[in-house]
Amino acid sequence: MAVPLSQMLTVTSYVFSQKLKGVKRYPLVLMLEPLFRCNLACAGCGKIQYPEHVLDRRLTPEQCWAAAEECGAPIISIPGGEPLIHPEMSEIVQGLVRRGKFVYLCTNAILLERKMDEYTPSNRLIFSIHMDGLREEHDFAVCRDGVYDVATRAIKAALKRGFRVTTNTTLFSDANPPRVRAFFDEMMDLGVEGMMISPGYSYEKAPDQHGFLKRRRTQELFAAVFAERKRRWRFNQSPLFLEFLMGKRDYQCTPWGNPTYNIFGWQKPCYLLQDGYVSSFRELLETTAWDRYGVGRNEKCRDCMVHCGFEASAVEETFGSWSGLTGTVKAMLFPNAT
Amino acid sequence: MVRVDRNREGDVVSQRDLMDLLPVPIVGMSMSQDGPEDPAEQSLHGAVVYPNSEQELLKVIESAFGYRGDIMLELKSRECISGYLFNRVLDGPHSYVEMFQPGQAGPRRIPCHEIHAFHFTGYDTASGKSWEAWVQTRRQEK
Repeated sequence: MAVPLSQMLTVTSYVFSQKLKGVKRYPLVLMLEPLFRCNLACAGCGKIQYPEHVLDRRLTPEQCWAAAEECGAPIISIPGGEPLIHPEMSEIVQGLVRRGKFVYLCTNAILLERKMDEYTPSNRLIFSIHMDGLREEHDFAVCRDGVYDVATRAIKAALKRGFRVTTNTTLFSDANPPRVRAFFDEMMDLGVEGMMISPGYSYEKAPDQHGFLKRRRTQELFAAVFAERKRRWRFNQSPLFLEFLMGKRDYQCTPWGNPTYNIFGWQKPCYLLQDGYVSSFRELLETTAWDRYGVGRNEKCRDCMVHCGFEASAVEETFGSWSGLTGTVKAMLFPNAT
Repeated sequence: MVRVDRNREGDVVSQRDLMDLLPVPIVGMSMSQDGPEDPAEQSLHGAVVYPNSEQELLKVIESAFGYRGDIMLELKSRECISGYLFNRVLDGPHSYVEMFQPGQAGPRRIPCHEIHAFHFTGYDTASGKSWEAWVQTRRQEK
């Protein structure tokens, strides 16, 4: 099992408590972006194209903690930008862990070995390392040679120190299923706890506009990648979401499941689209025209199958019906069943 | 008809139809007479836009909101405000935009009805060629 029992229980009890309270829209994962500056400029990234004075701005620890408390999600994912550039990142993480949150610190790992001493191993802190494939594919995707080797070295060091380590991988149109499967083997050999995988979203502002996947192609790719899935591969995400990627299930997006907070405020409507900002999470929930977004509702959502929109949909199905629950158990026990 | 004074090369491209000039998103706009033919490679950088109606104003605001560079707002009071326009709230007479100005801690809120002109002064950080340059380098290595 890729996710520890304590984390599963926390998420399960959180979801049930929301359902008992009759909350229709609740967040699962807060996407906390404390800065946009990065030490890489990856081809598929549309997050870092801003003027210098904007890249110099950072959320304070207090702002991060207030956002986490206001939102209430049990899991905090910290992407960016590169979070380890933030001089107060360890303080931010410590404060979030102290508040009982599970924190996924998403990093390209270039600075991880140097900064590791600032962090204390905890079952609530996970280093989620950006790895877009084997050495050749990863270095190509991040537009810099040598990053794969730096990242694998950092993964080994973090595991040796007792940290929880996962990987996060984005697949683009040029992904080669046998190579992706070899990459899964290599990550399991390294000893990571689990892997997270998602198709790329076609950011308007990303430098490479040709590599993004269309919906049908995404399903074909993931069906090929997960064909005859090996037992040793562990994924740190919902089994139903993986079935969704393979085209076995159909979901509508749940944009409020992974709300985003950054230097501009609470982002409407989701982590990927920027349709404006509001100053509170409550305002985000109450003033966003949610029915204007999603597959079939908005052109920008047409090909999106990204985890931040659909993982929450999969979790909702798991806890929303007996068929969802049994489907989840079945997908965990028999991942290769058709 | 909107008045557009100049593009980034200083050429006069005034009196062009706003609907042609300001598609949303802004990256698809052509301001340069000798610029790249692919609309995706064109940018508003260097343009100065004077909206003449509320409809035009809303359209320019939407384009400025999608622009990944600094702009300068010229207000009807003749005050000029430079910075990054990161938000717009369009709510009739209460509509406003929000900007981060270099050196200022918090955002500044500017009512839309006070805006006279938009100067797209800053380099569009999303119009770079970093990806093509990287692919070219890799090809040369092989």
